[in-house]
Amino acid sequence: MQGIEDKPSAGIWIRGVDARVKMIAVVIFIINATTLQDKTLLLTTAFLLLGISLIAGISPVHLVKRLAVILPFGGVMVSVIPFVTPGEPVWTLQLGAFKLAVTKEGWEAAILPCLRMLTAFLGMAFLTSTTSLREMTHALNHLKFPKILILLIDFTVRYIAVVMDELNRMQTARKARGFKPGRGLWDRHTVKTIGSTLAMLFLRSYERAERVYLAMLSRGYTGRYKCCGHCHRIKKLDLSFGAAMITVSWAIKLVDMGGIQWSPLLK
Amino acid sequence: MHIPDGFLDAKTWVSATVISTGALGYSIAKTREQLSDRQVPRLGVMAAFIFAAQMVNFPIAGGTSGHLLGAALATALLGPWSAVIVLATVLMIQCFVFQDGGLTALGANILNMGVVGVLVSAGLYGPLSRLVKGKTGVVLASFAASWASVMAAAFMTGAELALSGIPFAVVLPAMLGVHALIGIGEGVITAAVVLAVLNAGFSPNWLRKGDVCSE
Repeated sequence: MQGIEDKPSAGIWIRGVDARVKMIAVVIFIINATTLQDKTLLLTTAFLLLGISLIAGISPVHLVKRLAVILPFGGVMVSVIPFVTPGEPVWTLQLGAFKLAVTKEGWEAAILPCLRMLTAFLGMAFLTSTTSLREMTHALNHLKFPKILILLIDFTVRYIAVVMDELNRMQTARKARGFKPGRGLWDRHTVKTIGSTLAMLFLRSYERAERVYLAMLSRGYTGRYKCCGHCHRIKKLDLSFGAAMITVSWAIKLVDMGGIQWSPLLK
Repeated sequence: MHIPDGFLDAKTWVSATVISTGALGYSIAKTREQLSDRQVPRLGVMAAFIFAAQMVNFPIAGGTSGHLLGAALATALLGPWSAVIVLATVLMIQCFVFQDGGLTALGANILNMGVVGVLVSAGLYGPLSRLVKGKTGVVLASFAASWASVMAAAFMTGAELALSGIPFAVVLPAMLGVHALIGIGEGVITAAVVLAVLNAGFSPNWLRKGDVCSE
């Protein structure tokens, strides 16, 4: 299983910034960015985040790979919204009896959410590429996030790798026995084989869960989240980083809010 | 069906987050009646299983393939309250590690695929599997529960987008149409898995087994 426990791909200085500070700053940044109305300001925010990410040493290749995950939803929205919004048509597409028209209003309606999506994506990419998951759960613990959820996330992440390995072994074995998936759902054999693979995976995971639980109990597990012990105080670097991020974010937000009020006066 | 950031407006994602936080809190309280905090490792391994199950591709028709949402599968195997917690955990990991689904949309995604998906599945699976006895009942109930959970999640996604002012009312029928097909795939595979698990002698009651040293 790749990606889940990878070392963050960023440079060293940014990894020194406290995870709590990074999380709060990025969350505020994203919330502010997703409520911006002005496209120029949104683009500015996106470029700012891209700039910070590149300075932090995140490779552009890594960002593009991450982007692939959110593209399906965004792509569908961009290709659908312009057609279904009523308004002044700017471009028409003749499909047999159907006539599809891209409207100016629709185009406007599609661009804004997509820019917001991209900006928020860059923010999250910055956070997840510069902070390991362990640092994040540790930070969540100090931010008083419910402990049971932090523990669950920790365990799930640890066992995703184990369960995925098990699944891959089963799929390899299945292939070795000459299984080829059929063309569709009507193929009874395919459905039965996939069904029994997942059923087997469930039973094995269930038994593993029992073993893990008993083994942990016998080692004195009490269900409490243990802090890793290297909790550190907020340093000057953390404070200045957090303050800078939050100030910039609110500055953009205020210009955006003010811009809406001022624009009628300028006309 | 993971909604990214930017498509939901503030009022929609804040309300969705509040609702799913409440539902998650209630589920945790409900699960605590049966499981103690010390059984978190068990739920963790189960969440890892649901995560892996979502990775398995199956052919639907004409060269296209799909993957499970897992709400009905988790409900049938783990019971509704554990299922909500497990699915929420999986969605959180997908958001924080794989950036699948947005940060502000996390509450909405948990609401659609976790809470609503599980409630719809639980509402159909329990009564149907009791109504029709035997294996036919299990197959019928898991198919209906999975199909309905996919449709409910798709409807919720469409409704939230429409609430956010994205002109989606026109697209909602199309979205439901596509998911009616995807739901059949989910239904067939879920029914096959649940049947095979029960055939192997597994009983969902095992999960309610108490703590080993609770005395």
